[in-house]
Amino acid sequence: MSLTFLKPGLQTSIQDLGRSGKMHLGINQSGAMDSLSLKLANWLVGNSLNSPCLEITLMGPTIKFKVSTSIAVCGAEFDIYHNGDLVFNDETIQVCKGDILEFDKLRSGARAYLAIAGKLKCEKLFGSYSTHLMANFGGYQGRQIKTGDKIKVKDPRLIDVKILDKQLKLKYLGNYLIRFTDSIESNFFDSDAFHQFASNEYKISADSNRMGLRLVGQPISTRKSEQIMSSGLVPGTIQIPSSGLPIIAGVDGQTIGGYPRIGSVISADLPLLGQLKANDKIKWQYIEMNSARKFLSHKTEMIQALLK
Amino acid sequence: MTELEAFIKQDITDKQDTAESPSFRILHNGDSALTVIFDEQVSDGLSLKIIALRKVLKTIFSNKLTDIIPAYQSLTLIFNLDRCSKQDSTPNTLRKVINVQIAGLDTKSIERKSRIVKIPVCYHYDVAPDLESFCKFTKLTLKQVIELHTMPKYRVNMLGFLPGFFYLSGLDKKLYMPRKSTPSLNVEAGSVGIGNNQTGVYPVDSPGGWQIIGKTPTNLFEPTNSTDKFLVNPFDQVQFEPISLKEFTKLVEGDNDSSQKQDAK
Repeated sequence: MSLTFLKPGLQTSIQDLGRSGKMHLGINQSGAMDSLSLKLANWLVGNSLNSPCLEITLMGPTIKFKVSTSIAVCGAEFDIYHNGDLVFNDETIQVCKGDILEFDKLRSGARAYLAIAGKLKCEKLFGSYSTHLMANFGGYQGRQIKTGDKIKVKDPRLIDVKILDKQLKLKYLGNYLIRFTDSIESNFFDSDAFHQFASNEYKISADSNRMGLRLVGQPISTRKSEQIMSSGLVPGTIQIPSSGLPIIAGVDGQTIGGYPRIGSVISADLPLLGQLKANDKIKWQYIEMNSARKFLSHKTEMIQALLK
Repeated sequence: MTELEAFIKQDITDKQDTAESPSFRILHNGDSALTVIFDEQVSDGLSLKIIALRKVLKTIFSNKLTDIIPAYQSLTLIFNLDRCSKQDSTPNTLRKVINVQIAGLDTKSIERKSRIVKIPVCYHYDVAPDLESFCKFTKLTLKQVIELHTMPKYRVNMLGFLPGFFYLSGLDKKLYMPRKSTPSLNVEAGSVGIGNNQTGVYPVDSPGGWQIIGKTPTNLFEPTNSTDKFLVNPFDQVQFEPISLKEFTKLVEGDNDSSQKQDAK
């Protein structure tokens, strides 16, 4: 009982919700760039929400199933063919032994999450199945999927079809408003620079990945005289290096950062970062700390209620 | 009532609580983290204080934290907001806790546990692509570079950047050289580098901008569930020991042999 990859896709890797408690050893969180879509896909197949899934990036794989089980795809929208027939995101799909699932043209977003009812046989390290792509551990042999790779599935099962509530079906239109709040060095920028950052429109650079999203647009001026001491860096932090072009830290970002931080994407909007791709446009909206936390708790409550 | 709840309930009305304490500041690091910044120069004493405080805060906040990251002059607490009440993760609560704890920190046990880790390094042109240009830039002979680099016991102030990468202090000023203007796409694991006033070892293959002046055969990062396997911990000391190319090759081959034997099991 296994999945065999006839085509690997651009960057397909096993991810769950990531690791915690090891950042002081330089081990970053890894995990799904879009944690929400991973949870939703797991819910559709009756897995626990933190189960490892396949994270599929920009170009999808072709997979041969040697197992009968339920699967689901959430997040980025691809044209997905199941034995040649179109199937869709956000609902349970039943596959049988010998079936072929092909991810074709990408329609929207950047990363899709494929959940499989059952347990993917992969390596758990430091409390997570996530693949650490840089240090090569966890997941499937510590690396992204290659042609011919075979992942075993334990306890596969066919479950009743579930469909996501409309409110949870997200559309990725390539044009986003992202909310941010204060970070350590927000005061390091004068009001002109801050205002410039908040009112600029940026494009996502092709030079972006799970470590960081690079933005293209008007550079932000930093006060050069002040020295920045390196300190703990969290995913979503917006750093301004000497070029003045912002970089948003991703889940594979460094655990320690040394560039001035103008702000930080609010937790409620972090999953969206996983769906940004080259040439997408973003604008920023500043949010007070208290409101940022309220947005998160509302979102968490809403999702919990809909996933009952 | 947990220790943390007791702190939150404490109605401390003295000015310490409303004004920033003179020795540290607490800043928001996004909506899920707080960073404590100490207004002191980098020193062994400060590193000790930060690491001891980390231990205490880890116990008090327990599962409300996902991570707590020490750095040269700061400590960053990342909260699990799903487990936090409104009060748990505020600068105010954290300030109260630190104000009470900071005087009685147990730095002695950390000093006692601190080890000196010796790391063999081969300073040879064949394994260190930037060694020649480094000698030219610093106007030092190879012998002088080796002497100056292996002399100090460097303090490990923090780990980060890559799994198992340690930030050291104590590099001799004569060995300062700026990072490369364009980082190399792949620096091999074990490479020993210098970037401005810092020196360190790349634990895994990665892109990097430091000047590579040597290479160690020691594996600095072995992924395993046991964190005891980390070669170096914060506040340990590191000393580099020069080895010849012949010894280096022998050690690298020995390592491969033993891992092959393990594979065969």
